[in-house]
Amino acid sequence: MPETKLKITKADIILAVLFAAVAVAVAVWAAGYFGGNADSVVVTVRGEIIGVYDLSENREIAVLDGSNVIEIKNGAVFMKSADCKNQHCVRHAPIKLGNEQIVCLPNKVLVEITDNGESEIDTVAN
Amino acid sequence: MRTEKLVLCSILVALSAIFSYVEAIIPIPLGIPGIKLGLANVVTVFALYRLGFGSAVIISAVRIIIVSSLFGNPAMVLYSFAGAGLSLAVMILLKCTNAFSIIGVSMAGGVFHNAGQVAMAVIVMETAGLFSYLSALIPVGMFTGVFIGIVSDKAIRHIERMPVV
Repeated sequence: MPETKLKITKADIILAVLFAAVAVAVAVWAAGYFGGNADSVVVTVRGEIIGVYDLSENREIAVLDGSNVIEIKNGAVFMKSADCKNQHCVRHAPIKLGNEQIVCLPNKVLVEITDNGESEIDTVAN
Repeated sequence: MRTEKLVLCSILVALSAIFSYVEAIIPIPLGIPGIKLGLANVVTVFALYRLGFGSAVIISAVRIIIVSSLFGNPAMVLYSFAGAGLSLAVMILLKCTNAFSIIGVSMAGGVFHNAGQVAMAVIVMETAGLFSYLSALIPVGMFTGVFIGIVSDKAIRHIERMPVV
């Protein structure tokens, strides 16, 4: 049986270039999006903001009855523990720049750093 | 003929489920969540080219249900469907144009699999910041998609010589 070689088409190449361009565009956007002033940590659980905390104040925040434990330490935030299977959020590097975030998709926990200029006021719910 | 196709689809579901399982127990430590080769997609691409759109859709859907209920995380099933659904839709679309090779189709499948999952995460978590993962996940999707395309092409050529389907 004659072996027809697998041929890459012109459309394949154009698509690859297009994908690469989009990836670069996203990287450029992200470079501008992350950074800047940051003084607060916003914790959102299942779409509801459960607390805004001062980034400069060391503390531990347990959400969902301890399913996720968030720690603020020396101006950086990290997920100390999570009861989910994949542990992506726990392995995530500590965040400290504006708009940076750590998410726990299975538990729908979002930890974000923002600059809202009202870091003196701590609202603690839950 | 109907029975033959049913049996073949079942075998392919079993094969792709095993591929998913093997991948789940071998994590890729690249520091970006959710990265994997997507070996199960060899079955999807194979089915797309050899059995038609309908079989490819059914095989993927059944695989996702089986894998996420047996060894996966049930909370993540939404993401699996978002990724696989968008990926398959784009692959079917591109294949219909007849302008792309199996590698191009599979590459788009890899990229849109990741894009679908990120988009679902953005919707669920209500934060656009997650789109930033795409700067890494698009190249990763291209790489894995091209790899899957080459493997699928080899599989299709090999199986053409055998008296099945």
